[in-house]
Amino acid sequence: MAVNRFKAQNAEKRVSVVGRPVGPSPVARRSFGREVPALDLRGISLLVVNDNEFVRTYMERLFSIMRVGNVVTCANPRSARVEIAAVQPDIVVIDLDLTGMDGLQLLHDIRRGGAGIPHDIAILVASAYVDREYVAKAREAGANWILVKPLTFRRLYEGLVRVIMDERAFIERDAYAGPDRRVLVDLDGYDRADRRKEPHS
Amino acid sequence: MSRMLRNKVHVIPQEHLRRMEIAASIAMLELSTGFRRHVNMTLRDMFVLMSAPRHGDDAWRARLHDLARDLQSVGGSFDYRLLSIVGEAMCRIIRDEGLATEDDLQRKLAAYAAALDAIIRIDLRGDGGDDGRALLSVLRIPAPAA
Repeated sequence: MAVNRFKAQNAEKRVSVVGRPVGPSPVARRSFGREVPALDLRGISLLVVNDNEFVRTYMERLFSIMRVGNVVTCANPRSARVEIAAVQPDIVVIDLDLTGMDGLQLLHDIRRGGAGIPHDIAILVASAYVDREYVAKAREAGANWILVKPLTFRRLYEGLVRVIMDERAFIERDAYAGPDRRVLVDLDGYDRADRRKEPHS
Repeated sequence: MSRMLRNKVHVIPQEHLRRMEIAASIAMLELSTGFRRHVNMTLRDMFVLMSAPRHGDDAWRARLHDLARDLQSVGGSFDYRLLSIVGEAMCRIIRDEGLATEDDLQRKLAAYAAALDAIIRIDLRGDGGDDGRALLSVLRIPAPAA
């Protein structure tokens, strides 16, 4: 606790090894440290995969307040596969807690070009459990952003903005297809200084 | 990818976002009333179903599983994480064919259903803090790490 307080008090005093002032840590920036840009989303089409009718209605309501152009909801990944080619969404939102391995398979299929939409489409994943194995797998399967529940207006909006602003290069290899995981993303775009040293797994 | 996506949006004044947030908070009041109504109806259906237990009946189990899963789903989405955790645990035991006796199953189902009801009645949001941990401990459900 004391260490955290010390870090918080000195958060703005960070300097580099040569004494040059540096900004807040990249990790802190990733946790919504800056103001979210306001975007006109009327040109955006969304496909939402969530097996709960009440939650689907709730999300539709919030997306309508955000003035998202077109929102199509699907109860499961199977029906999503049918809708996806017809709708040609710009962003796919998958609830992993409910769709589990089926949701991951859909994510994988999209990234491998087997879903009838561009394989580099933006994918936003929602889960209440960031510690669960399938959430890590979602990242490995090429999700652009993991949205932590509860699904509030702010979180959903930020999630959409995150994936829209995601400028990372799309990587396609045998082991991985998805946005470049070596780059940390900020709401202002990505910061090359944040690149990790290790190569892709 | 993102260049095409970015071309479909443009930046608008922050004031618009603030107005949207106000609209969302008003909608949330209405939606949370709907949420409570939905959860109460689901719990009522659950208790009705459990009042005439047919543990060996697949259709009965499937219906109970659907109700527990519904609570798992709405709980996680509406900041009632504890509801989601207990709902998920309930789904697991309904699927578990290996429970020693029907009494075991009935006792656990009754405890889980009562816990779900209590979470809503005393409005235990999020993970419920100390009360939530105590509840999970009584139910012998491991608390998730995050």
